[in-house]
Amino acid sequence: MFIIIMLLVLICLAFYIAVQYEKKQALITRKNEYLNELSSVWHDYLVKSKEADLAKLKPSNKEEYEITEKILLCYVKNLSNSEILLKINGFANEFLTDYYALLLRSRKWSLRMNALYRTADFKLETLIEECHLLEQRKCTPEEIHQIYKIYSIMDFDSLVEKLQANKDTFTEIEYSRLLTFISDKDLNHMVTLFEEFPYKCQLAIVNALGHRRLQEYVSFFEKLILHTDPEMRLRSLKAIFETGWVIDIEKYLHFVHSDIWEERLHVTKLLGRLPLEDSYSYLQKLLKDQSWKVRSEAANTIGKIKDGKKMLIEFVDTSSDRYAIEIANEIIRKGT
Amino acid sequence: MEKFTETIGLFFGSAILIYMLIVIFAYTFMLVIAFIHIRKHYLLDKEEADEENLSSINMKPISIIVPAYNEEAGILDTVHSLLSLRFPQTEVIIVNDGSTDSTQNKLIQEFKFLEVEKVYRQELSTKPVKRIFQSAVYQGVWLIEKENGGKADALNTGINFARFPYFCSIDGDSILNEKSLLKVMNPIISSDGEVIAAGGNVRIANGSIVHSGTVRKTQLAKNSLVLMQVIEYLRAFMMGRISFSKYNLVLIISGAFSVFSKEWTVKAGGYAANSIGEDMELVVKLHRYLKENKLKKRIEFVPDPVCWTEAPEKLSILRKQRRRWHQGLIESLWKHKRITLNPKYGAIGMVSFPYFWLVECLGPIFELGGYLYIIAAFFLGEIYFEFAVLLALLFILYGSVLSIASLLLDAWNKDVYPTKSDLFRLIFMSLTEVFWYKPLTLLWRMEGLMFFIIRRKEWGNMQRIGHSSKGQSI
Repeated sequence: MFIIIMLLVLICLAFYIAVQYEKKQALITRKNEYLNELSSVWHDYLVKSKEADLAKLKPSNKEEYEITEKILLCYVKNLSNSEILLKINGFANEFLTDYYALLLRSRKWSLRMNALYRTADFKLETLIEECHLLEQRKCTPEEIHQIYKIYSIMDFDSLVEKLQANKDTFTEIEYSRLLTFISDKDLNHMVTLFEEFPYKCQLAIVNALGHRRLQEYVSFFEKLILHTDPEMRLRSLKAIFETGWVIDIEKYLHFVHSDIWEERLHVTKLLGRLPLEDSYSYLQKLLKDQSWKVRSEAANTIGKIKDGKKMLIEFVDTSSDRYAIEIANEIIRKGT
Repeated sequence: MEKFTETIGLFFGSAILIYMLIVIFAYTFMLVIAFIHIRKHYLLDKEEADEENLSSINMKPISIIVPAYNEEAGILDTVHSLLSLRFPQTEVIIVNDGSTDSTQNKLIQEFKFLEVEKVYRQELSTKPVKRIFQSAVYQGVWLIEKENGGKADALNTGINFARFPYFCSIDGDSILNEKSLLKVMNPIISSDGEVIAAGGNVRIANGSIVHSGTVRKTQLAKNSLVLMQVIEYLRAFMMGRISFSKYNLVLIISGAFSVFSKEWTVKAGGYAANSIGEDMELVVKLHRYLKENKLKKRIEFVPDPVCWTEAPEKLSILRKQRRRWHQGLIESLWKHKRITLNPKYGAIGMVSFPYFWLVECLGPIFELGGYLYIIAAFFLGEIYFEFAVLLALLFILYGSVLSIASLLLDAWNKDVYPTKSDLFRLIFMSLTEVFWYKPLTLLWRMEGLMFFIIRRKEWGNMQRIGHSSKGQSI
């Protein structure tokens, strides 16, 4: 009996889902019609700078909100024209705030998350207060991260305050994602408060500075390469390499003899910034390193420097280290 | 004597009944967990997270390894699909494992491969490599020609050659969605290295329209055998892996599409070259390594990313595949039997292994026993008959009702099969499962069990048809 009831329930569910399919199809058709009608108006207003009655573009029901969101999102994600983004920002703050505020108060986690995404995408300053309120309620870690992301875009002071107060809230990659939206000026402010941030956030800051190739921080990195934490030293070496800075070899020589192979690897890369006559003796040592990756990197580095291949040929003729010779030979053969 | 026979009959009937109830309870529990997970993420805009991951600063590069043995039918589509992936940095390593067909020639022609000399580090021992090629069109695409050594050996060769910290293993007949890699890497990246491997959701592409390595239109195949496999895949991923992943209990992530940390894979010894089920074997080895070294790492299943694979359309090929899968499963369980019910291995030892032994490995014995019992009971007395009816109903509940529930959950979650007729076709096929497909797969799995017992190793040649229509990619 139980199984028959189960089967009947499932068959009914199947019919329900089939009906939902039909409804969904009809909704898609309606949405497409509205999308076609609206997208050209938005294009004229945003791209061709034609006049538009924004009040008329204001969505009035859920479907219209969804379509408007879709159109605006497309511009936000794919264009970096500040004039267009400013227009979208103005419209969203004026006409979409109530809709997203309602979603932020929803009981459904996914709807709240979507509203948080849009608050960041459309830079809805009008919802910052709502985000503060949401943060005080019971939030999931995903929501907290999105709220912090919003602060990173529109409320930098709050972000700094939160990051200082909350230790180890996020993983390193999550800190990195927050820093993506921060301007160089704000990042500079974070560097001045560096010691006050959680360790993983510090690593993310060093990564971000390197990734943005900000050469003015080389002296900051050069202080960090003396740090007691090996990971911090590694990140700093990597960041210095990314900035493209020509190193003062004296400050880096101790890494050639480091016990940590990753440090030797990074210094190998950095030695490539110097003329071969200054770096060759160290690179030659690294070419015979116990780590395969370091040997390989050393061969690559020499190969890239002017007259490097000539040095490698000499090395092959005189060395007895089989692995080093193999790697050197590969680099020599490249481009010959 | 009659009393004795009756007691024996009732004993077996009760044993099968209890077994079925345990299995149904376990599956229903897993279905509920999957439902809770899906409901939470149902309305979420999943594109947003992918966009964040697209930034190269947030993402780790991946080496994609494609082991290929006689894959001339689908290899070009697979490589094209890999080239169209949205991912900041990848390299593609195709390992031609001594193919005897035109796999290599097709690849050389299509991607303009040129022979190069390349030194790489042999961290895992493999069969000798004959030649290395680099594509003249795509600098990051490599072809390694090696002596035949099996899929695991080819994957190990690819791992040795891989430059990047993570590698993705993908079958030579699989096709990825453009964002699959981004999605499957998300838990790895977001966990600061706590997640060391992740497997994606695999769907069957037979019947769909594939062009230049992209699934242009998803359609259901007409072949009943393929339809049954569609249901089976859906059920396995929907019920088993979502819930197992939640508690770090996953023992199988599909070899058709999974990402592993190179460092941990090498530490665990890489793929087992002589194993018949190398994908499960690697996951078990990783779990074992982590537990024995008291490391807090996870292996996850990601329900979103879709990898399209080709399902066998002939009974003979499906039989070989299922026999091989089951044999591989038992081999791994037997090889690592000391994990079973060993508290040292945590939940893997106390939950995963007992579950896999009882439900997955010994399932065919109990279930086939059940089928035989039902048939025999109709010729025997009244008590047996009641038992038989009860058992038959449990089989329907197990085989069909849970399948339909998985189908509906999937249909509700996303519009993979967006027509009503497709949905009802699948539901109808689910209802027929207990009458033909289930007994067949049970027999094939029994065969796998027998092969394991007599130590017979037979990989079986999987004949591929290819995804593309003629004249498109091939």
